[in-house]
Amino acid sequence: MSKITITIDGEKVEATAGEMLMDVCRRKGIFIPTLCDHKDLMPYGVCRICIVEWDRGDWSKMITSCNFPVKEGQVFRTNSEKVIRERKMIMEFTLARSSKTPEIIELAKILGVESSRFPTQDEGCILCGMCIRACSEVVEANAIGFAQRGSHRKISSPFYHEATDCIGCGSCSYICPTKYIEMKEDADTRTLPIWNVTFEMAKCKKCGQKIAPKKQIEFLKKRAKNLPEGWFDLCQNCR
Amino acid sequence: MTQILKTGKELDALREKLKKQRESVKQTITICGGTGCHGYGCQKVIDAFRQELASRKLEKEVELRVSGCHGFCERGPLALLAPSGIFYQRIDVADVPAIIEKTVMKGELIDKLLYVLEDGKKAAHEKEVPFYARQNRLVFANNQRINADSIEDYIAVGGYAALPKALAMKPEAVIDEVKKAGLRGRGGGGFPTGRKWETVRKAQPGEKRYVICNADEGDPGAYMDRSLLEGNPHSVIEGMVIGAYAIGANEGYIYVRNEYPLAVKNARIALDKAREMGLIGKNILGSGFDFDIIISRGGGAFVCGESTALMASLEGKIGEPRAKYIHTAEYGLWNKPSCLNNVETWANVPMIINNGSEWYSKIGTATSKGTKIFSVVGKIKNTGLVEVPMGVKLREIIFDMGGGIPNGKKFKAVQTGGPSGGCIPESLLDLPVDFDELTKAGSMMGSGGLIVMDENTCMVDIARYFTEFLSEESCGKCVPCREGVRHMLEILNRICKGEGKAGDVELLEEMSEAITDASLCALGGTAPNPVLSTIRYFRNEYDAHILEKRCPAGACKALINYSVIDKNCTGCTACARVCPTQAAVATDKPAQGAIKGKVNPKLKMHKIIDEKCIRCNMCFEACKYDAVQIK
Ligand SMILES: Cc1cc2nc3c(=O)[nH]c(=O)nc-3n(C[C@H](O)[C@H](O)[C@H](O)COP(=O)(O)O)c2cc1C
Ligand code: SF4
Ligand code: FES
Ligand code: FES
Repeated sequence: MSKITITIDGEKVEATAGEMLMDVCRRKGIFIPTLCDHKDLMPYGVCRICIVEWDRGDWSKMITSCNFPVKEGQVFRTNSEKVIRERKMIMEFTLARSSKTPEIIELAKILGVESSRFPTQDEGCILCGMCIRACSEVVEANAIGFAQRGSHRKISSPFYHEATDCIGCGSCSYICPTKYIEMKEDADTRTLPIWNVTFEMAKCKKCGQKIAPKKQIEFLKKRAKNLPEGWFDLCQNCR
Repeated sequence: MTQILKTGKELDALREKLKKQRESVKQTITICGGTGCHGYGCQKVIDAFRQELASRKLEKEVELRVSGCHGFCERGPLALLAPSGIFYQRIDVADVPAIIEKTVMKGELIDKLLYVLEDGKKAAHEKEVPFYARQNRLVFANNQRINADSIEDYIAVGGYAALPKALAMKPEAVIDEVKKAGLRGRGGGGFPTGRKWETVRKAQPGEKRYVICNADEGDPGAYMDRSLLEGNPHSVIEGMVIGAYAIGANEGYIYVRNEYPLAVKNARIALDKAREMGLIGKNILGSGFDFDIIISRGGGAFVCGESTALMASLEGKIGEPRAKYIHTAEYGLWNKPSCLNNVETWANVPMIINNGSEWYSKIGTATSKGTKIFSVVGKIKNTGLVEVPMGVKLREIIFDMGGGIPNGKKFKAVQTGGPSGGCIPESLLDLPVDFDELTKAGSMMGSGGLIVMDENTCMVDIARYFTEFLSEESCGKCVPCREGVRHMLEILNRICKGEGKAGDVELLEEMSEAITDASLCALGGTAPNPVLSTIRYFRNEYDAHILEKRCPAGACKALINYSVIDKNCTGCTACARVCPTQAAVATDKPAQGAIKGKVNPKLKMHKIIDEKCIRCNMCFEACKYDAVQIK
């Protein structure tokens, strides 16, 4: 990919053509707030908090930096009054939805939003879709998705029943930026109440430590064919 | 047996033959068989005509045509007689024998089936009906001339003449012609069609590419795309074949709204026929060009009409817009270059090839060429579809063709551009219909919906209504649209309930900026339009609601009271009889109002008990003496 030069906040910056603007900004240490971007996932572009202003000479356009592929000569402003004002408004929308969520309250503060002028809710899920995307893009289990439309949209197992394709890997819970997806474990099982699933845990043949849900190990065995026999029988420490 | 056409010459010869056949028929009766008229029972009328003609052995002399929508659905069932040009409306099954007996056989008019003009006179012919007379039907004209399911009819009236002409041109020359014609998309955005085609043609060299027809038509009250696809599907198909040739596509889709069964049926028949005759399929008219079309039924949501959502839906995924700064023209359906155009856009194409870009570009304004079909609904006398050249004034559409506002009410505003368009006030009625002029006025062309409102319409309530629609139709993927539009609705609900606060209007404006700029797709991006345009032109109504807790139009139920004007009340008891909650009751005082000049003091004056009143408006409508007032 060819090297190009773009301008961010008045400074010339080197970049690779087609690279996402947010990545360029990150490299340069320019702060861009995000709520739906993750380095291991494809850009999704729904929280809209990463907007910046694309200067087109006699006019400008707001774009989301996480999914904007840059081209030679483009000019951006990441901290114009318009950017700041609109980001605050979007933050107010998100804060109204998740008014008690610490991660959201904190980002709102950074952006200068102390409270929301809209009726508040206490909704832990911000619908960034990271759980669903991790499940499909990284784990490739495709066990969960979105249900319903508009303001009724939610993350859900198929038809709110047991997520039959879930392997209990817990990626959704680890990746969730607001710690909304609860994962419980006792001596023998792991439960993800939100997807209505409970798994029996496999234990290390040597030390008896829990390794992972049996179903996850089956799933991994099918994919990783050239691992030594018995690889999954032991925990990481005993391997 | 169907003839397989191998060359343009064979097609021309067939056309000549069909034309002769058509001219040899002495008389024709064309009945509208569109969805609107079906609602008025046109199928029974059609069956009655068939029977009547058969029993009189007139089938050879009189041809019965069942066409698609004529655009005047409100007066259906409709019949158009040729060559006499006689136009009958609101036909009942019982009228059919008389129409044959008197009009067809003897040329006499049946008075009660004629359209009544403003001055009480009757119009015998369609061209005397103002609704039709002022239109300029180019795209829509053939709807009335052909059987909706007959490819022969379409060919006989000149259909598929543009196809061999285009196939003989270089693809680039076809694109050039469409560019020079100045055709812009009729589906909402008004994007220059030729330019889109060029982008698709040049994108991803060597890859497969697609053409798609957007027949999702989700705007409430709009039905021009349905009417075209139902009544003249071949014009859309011909446009698509030409477009496919121009951009180099061999596969096409018609994405049609699930609620349009007749459109699906007629389009399917049309595709089968066209395929049988070799007008789509392999080696079309011996040109070596292959192209076929598949019908796909829509996902059901309004947002499925948006280009990226539509393509996701076509791929079998959830019909949701996707966030990407790459145009579908370059990476669309299955990531291949894809050319999406609206039904009406496609239907304009054959005309441009037939008559040339120079002819076409003479119609309309500097930046908006050709005609546009509008669907005129709301508080207007003649609701229906009108096709006018771009540049016509809104006033002409509403007052000349639409006949103005019924019941002696005053015009207040017209919403153009569908649910996310804007409200245009009386003072701007001389605005020409033109993509750029409407946008400048804070509205848009959209797909051509016109909703007319009278003085009894509350503009805050209207903004609330459209915002509610858009909030419900939001896919919910991105924050500004899902959360922002919902909060706008919540504020509007409050204002209409009399719970508005100073600063609400400014807050709505502030929210609008972020929602417009930062939404993922154009649904959210245009959702603030109804609110912004009503604030711009009807700010006083917002202020009355918020500051004085008053609805000037008397429409917001929480802000109005019903009461009796004592001196007008005659004691007739009409209000008390209709009131569902016994809020309208007699008092023990004598009535003061006069019935035919005489006061009858034995009758009791009435009153309305506010606590019981549910503001259903029944008493207001029932009172013949203007004694019920709304304040
Ligand atoms: C929410 C939404 C709904 C839309 N619905 C339709 C529709 O029903 N029909 C249509 O032709 N275009 C619709 N559009 C516009 C399409 O995205 C697209 O611009 C159009 O089909 C392109 O064709 P054109 O260039 O011929 O207008 C819609 C756009 C949005 C944002
Ligand atoms: S603007 Fe609305 S409809 Fe479009 S992606 Fe965002 S939420 Fe969905
Ligand atoms: S980080 Fe760009 S839209 Fe969420
Ligand atoms: S359906 Fe008959 S006129 Fe529209």
